[in-house]
Amino acid sequence: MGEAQRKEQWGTRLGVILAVTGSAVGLGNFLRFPGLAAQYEGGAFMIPYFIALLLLGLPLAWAEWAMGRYGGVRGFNSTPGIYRAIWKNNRLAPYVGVIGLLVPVGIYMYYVIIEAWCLGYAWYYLTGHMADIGRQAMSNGVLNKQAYADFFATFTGSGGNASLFSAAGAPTLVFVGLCFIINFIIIYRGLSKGIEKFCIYAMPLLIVCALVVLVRVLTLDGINAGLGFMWNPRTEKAGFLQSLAKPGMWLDATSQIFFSLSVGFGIIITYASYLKPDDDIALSSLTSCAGNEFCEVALGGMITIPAAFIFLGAVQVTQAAGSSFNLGFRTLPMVFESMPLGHIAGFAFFFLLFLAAMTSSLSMLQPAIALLEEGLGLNRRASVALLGFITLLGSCIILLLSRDTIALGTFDFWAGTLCIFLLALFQTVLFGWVLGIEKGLAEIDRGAEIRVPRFIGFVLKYVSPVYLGGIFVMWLIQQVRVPDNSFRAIFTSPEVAISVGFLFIVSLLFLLLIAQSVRRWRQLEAAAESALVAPEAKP
Amino acid sequence: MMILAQTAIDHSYDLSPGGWLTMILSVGFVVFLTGWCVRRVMRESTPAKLHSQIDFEPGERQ
Repeated sequence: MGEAQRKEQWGTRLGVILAVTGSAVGLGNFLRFPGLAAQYEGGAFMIPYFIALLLLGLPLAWAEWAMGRYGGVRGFNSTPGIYRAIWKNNRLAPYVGVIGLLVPVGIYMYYVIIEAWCLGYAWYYLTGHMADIGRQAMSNGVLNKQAYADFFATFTGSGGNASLFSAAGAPTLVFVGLCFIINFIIIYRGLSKGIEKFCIYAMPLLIVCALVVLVRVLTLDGINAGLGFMWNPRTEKAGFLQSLAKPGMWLDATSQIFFSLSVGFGIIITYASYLKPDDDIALSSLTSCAGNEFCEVALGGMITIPAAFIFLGAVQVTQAAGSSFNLGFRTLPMVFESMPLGHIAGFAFFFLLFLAAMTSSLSMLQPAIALLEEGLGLNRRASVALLGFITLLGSCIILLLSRDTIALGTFDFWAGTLCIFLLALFQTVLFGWVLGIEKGLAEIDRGAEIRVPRFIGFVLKYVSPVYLGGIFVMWLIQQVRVPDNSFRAIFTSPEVAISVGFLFIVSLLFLLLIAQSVRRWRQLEAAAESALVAPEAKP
Repeated sequence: MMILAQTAIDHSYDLSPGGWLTMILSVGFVVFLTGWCVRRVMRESTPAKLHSQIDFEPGERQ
């Protein structure tokens, strides 16, 4: 392990909490969560949502923080190293860490593009370009939906493959390039001077932007109906209990909690590995989860759907709520165009989405940087350059195969959904059955400023794996039942085949890097052992 | 600037008592939890940290 890497640590406790919260807060908080809640009869959705938070989200977050610090204390910051430290007598354990690298790096490749869309929309609100689109879209006092759909298609290249690599796509490429550069400059500056410093400023700014939009939305005429559409338990037809019996709602609520808290991404475990041995993790983990929930429920739940309902009505909002892109990038611009001071609210909203995406994308680079530094002994410049090259390749594939965002969706399906389920399942078993509940809870307790309830041990050992496994099986069944599902699409869609092929090659590359890292760790351990034995052997 | 659909708001969706309850409980819970956590974290003098079993040597009194 490199000396420089060993010295890297978080500067302040607030910094690590804001960094983890920033990693968790993303577009899902402001677009996916309200969309799901509106889709599933508002209030009824919150019951499975909070149950999943208590039985899955919080326990898994504690487990990931504990495993991260456990590995960090033993000198490892990457998932392969941490898994090797926990599951000592299993030679394959570090190789499972490939999922812990593929998930964040695979997500980064498309997330940075969505981040660029948010930055682009914010810029266009600031410069008045969105107002021009609004004027063009206005006809007889009604906004033409198609104008916004056309703008989205041109800006994201979803109209056709390679369309971004023409004059019309140049602005998008500039925004993507800008986001790439900002991300890698911050990552290059390191954990404390880069990620932590950025999050300390970006997170409060994000909250301020959200509050600006929230005040605007809550002072709109008809907000009572907007909030009612979002929060009323609309169970007149089915009845409350029958409504709760929908398996799809439980699946979506659990998935939302799980993805929203970023558990099973390989990020929290890496971040926590940079803590000191006696740093608190119990309260810090709870605080970052609470911060994420605040952004999701108290801000996201009060802004997007109520505002959209007031101007577009129940039918249009229900149609848009099923897709985050549709809701965020096609529908909400119409809403902002329609409300007084809407351009200011529009800028604040898309800028907050950009900040939320930025704090998340930064966290996705750190796990791979950790492996390159500690496993291969590369310095920061080399590891940043290598990772930059790999992620740039992936993003270029997504930008090139931009038709109907198929490539982006494929990366999201394999790296951003399937692999997350697998990694979270593995980590739950690793904590509950390999590290052991007694040792695991003792790790959480070390330096803790709150006492985690003892039943969390039972939950982590039995409830979480079964709950998570059940949700995963339900999700798989749901996917397989779709005629043109993502598994079959590998053989029918060239975009999907190329994207999956690229992810497979990246996985192989990571496996090779892990093999080299394991060899290096063994050599270092052998050298350390012989250094200990040598002085004792002297007469 | 044109204000759309303000007149077409469907007031049958106005917040019902159940909606108020759900919203207050959901938002209130996350606001309270966040506030409580932030207060604990920001408190300058933290209470003595808890120690786990592995911090103690065998035979040492806790």
